[in-house]
Amino acid sequence: MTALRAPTPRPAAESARDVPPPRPPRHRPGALALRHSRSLVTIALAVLALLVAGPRVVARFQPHLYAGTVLQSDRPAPSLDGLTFTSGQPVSMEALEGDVVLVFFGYTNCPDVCPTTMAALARTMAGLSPGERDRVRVLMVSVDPARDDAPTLAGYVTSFDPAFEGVLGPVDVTDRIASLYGVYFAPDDAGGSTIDHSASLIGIGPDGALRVVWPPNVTEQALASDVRALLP
Amino acid sequence: MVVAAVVVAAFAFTVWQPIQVLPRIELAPGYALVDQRGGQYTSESGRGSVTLYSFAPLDCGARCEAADATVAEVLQRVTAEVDLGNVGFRVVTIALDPVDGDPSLLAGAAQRSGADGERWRWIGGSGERVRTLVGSGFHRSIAAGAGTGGETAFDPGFVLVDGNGVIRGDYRYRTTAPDADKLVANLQVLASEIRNAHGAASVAYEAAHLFLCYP
Repeated sequence: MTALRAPTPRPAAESARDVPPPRPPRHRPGALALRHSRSLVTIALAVLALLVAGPRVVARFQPHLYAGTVLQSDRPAPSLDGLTFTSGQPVSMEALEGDVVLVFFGYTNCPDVCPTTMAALARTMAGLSPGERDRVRVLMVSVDPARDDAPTLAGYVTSFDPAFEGVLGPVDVTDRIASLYGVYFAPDDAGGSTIDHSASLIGIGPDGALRVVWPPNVTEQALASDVRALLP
Repeated sequence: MVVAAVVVAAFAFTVWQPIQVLPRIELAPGYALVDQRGGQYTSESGRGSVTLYSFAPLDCGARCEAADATVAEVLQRVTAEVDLGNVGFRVVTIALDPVDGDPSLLAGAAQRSGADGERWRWIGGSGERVRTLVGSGFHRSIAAGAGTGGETAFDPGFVLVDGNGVIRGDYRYRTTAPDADKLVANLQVLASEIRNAHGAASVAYEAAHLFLCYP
């Protein structure tokens, strides 16, 4: 009798006829099904994790969509040197750093856009948390320093919110500074007592750079959302 | 996995630039000057329209021929090649010499350069006001009488301002002033954003600003 032997392994290149015998299946069908089930569970868990964590991760990295126009230069906001608070204290950009500063150019005899904007700013501030409010300053720079003396301006701005601050200075200094903030002002063409002026609201970031410009008709909800995004 | 997708998307956005935007550089300066017809022209007059600013002395002559030709070509091509939708386009040349109370000086300069007073107008004011506006606001040098023949020395070029009063392009003379192609191409990019950056698409445009423009 000839004993059956397993064929001796030979180098693959030795003969083309040396085809290895078919191997028996390594797993039984039940084990294969189990592996597939595990894979399906793994994929399902991954999809679940993606569904749960994905939106949070995206929200974490998604930039805030500002209602205002975002400026992309890191150049510091134009200096307010030469202007003073209604208390007489000079305005210092260094002292403002660390806070979000909302700047509006207006005047106390302004019939329409100034009270509207200041009221909107007051409602915006009211919608912020106390901690947020502490880090936001609202400055109204008078474009009518001839009529807006310090007590008048202080009374006007604090009538909207006790934390609002009035800023004023000589008209030529105010004119130069306003221009750098994209704002113009001039007596109206009709020769009346009103002053034509830009009504944009300007946001300075905590880093001292001009960050956002809002049109006069921005809603307080949108403004509050943008201000929160500016906060550090 | 999501973070990787975000990173890949950011990379793709930066490399292939599926949406092009012009940077929002800074606020254009505010001003109130007079135009060639004697009326007041302010920074708010151009609000809502795209404005291309140029700068020139009243007696610019041959020094401004190339820039004037560029403006004329841009005005002609914008009508045919740039779809700004409902947004207007105008060119405003700021006179670098004082024109206190005499708009006829502006009218003369406008006539010499081919400005029609509607789509292309000249504006000016007192010497100090213009120096502050052009120097501090548009960051261009200007020196009265400092030229070789005693004429006003200046830093010619263009500044493109959008309807929100934000500077979107700053072109210096030596590189692009005679190049209407570049100005028209940039106007097309801006026009595309003006037409399309609404609703959900605004997210894509903000992403483009974020990836392509932020320092």
